[in-house]
Amino acid sequence: MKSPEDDESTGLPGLRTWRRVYLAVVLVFVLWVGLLAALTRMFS
Amino acid sequence: MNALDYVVLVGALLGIAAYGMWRTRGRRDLNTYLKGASGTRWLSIGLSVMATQASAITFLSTPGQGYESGLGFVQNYFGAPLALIIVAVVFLPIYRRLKVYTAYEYLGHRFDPKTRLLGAGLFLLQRGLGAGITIYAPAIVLSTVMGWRLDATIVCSGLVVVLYTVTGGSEAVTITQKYQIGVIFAGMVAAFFVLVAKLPAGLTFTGALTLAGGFHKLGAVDFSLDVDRRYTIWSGLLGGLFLALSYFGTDQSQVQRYLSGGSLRESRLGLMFNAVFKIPMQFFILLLGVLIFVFYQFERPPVFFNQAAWNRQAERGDGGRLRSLDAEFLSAHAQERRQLQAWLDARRAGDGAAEAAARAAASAAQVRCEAARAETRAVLHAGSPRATANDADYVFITFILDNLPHGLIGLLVTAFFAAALSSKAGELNALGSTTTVDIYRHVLRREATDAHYVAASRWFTAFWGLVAIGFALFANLAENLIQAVNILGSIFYGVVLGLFLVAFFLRRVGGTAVFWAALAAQGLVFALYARLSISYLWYNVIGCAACVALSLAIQAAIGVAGRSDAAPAAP
Repeated sequence: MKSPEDDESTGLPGLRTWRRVYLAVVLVFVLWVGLLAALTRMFS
Repeated sequence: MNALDYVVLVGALLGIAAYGMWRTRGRRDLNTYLKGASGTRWLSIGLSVMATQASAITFLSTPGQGYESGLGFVQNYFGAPLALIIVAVVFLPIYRRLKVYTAYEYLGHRFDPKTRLLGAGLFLLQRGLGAGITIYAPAIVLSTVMGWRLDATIVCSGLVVVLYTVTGGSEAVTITQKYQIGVIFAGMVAAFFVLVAKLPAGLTFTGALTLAGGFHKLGAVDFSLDVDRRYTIWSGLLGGLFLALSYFGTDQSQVQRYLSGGSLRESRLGLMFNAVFKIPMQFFILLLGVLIFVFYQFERPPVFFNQAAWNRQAERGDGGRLRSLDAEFLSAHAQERRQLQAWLDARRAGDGAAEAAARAAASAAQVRCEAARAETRAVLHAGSPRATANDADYVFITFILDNLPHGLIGLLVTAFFAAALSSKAGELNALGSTTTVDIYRHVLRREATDAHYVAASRWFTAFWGLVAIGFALFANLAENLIQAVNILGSIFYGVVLGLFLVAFFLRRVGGTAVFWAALAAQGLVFALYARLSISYLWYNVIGCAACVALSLAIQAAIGVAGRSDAAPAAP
């Protein structure tokens, strides 16, 4: 499944592998959901 | 709208279209025409993907959704980030490695020509039938509110998008989408600041949120396992993942956007841009609707936001009943406003008991308001069954026209049209490309020059544009049509996703097995749709599951001999 292009640099500081980029996106997603859940709780 | 608004509207829309045409003038290379410039960067791709998905109705209707039901709708997008990661990891590298123009070309590499034609055919059928809706849906709302002629609105906006999409191809679509989404964001942010500035004196932003929360408008995440609830985190994660995977992974209108990247890196980052910003963007648009709800607690809203429909029905003989409901709504709203003011005063004074009492009284008055609105809807629907009973699409545009200064009104109306053009351009580009690459070049004319295929692609794009305009002109079913197109999409999406999942993950299944499985699965979906009355979203799951399961079963039945048609280019 892995092509040479998969090894291409992401060019992002601190997120040098694609695995880290995807992990960061998942963390941001979890953060959004957490913030929305907190908003729901705070104003219900 | 005054002259300044029209200058903003016409200047921005035509200016962006003309710039796109000028930047892409004289393109004769098929690769550039279908995939865009080879140096396209990730931000352009990300904005292009976003602009293709977000149609005008997204920006017109979603604030109305927030006004009516609060923030819960945002959960529908919870599956999108995960789906985009899967597309970036699995789908995208394969498409790029095989250097395909369309997603369905991959089916030809992996299986055989007939499966490729089946995938392309299902896409063309679904998108082609729904081609007019992206133009029709905003045109019906804007022409109703503005008093414009519906046919002129459809033809003018349709011809602009056809012109620059035909002229510049994928590159023009990407270039114009970047500026169109800029106009859209500018309009939305301007509306937000005007809205916050127009909240009553003494009501802070936090106070507005507290008030909205008191009316249950801030329930953004619902962990309930109750399947009868429309929006929960679970339906959003599972259903949303499934839908987003079908849409971003197999729909050529999206695949073409991210294949325009100069490298795998640019395409992936463009997708990740959407994975990060899709949820906050939808949240922000819904929040606009919630704040409009708060605003209209202190300013009198119309009893029915589609005022043209109300006026028409009032003239036809239901005037007495409608006016009496309007009076009841006015009285209940005035009472609610008084109680909300009392609630604010009590809150400022720190009087908890008075605060609770005023809040309860305001809620009771709100129930009276909603009852008057519901009955108004029923009267309107009874008088004109084909007319929509849902005025949510008219909430945001009513707020804009009644409360924004001239110039900004023009900017917001431009934003709606920009959204309509940008999503339409992506669709037309995909329809033209698929017809050229998967039908014309693959079946009818195999050997020809790039210039010939570019010319053919232009003709096919123009053809689909005219089909879309014609469909929009003759469509006369109001919102029922939108639902019909959504149903149409769900009927086909599941089977197409099934085709791709088998291609990616079930290497032992060959073309003959998956071809017949897809046809049988599609037949099953048609049959179930005719007999059952379940939510149409389930047909995505049923179609996909049936296609995958039948592929395995047929492959097992025909055995190894049936695999001879499986191309060796499996991922």
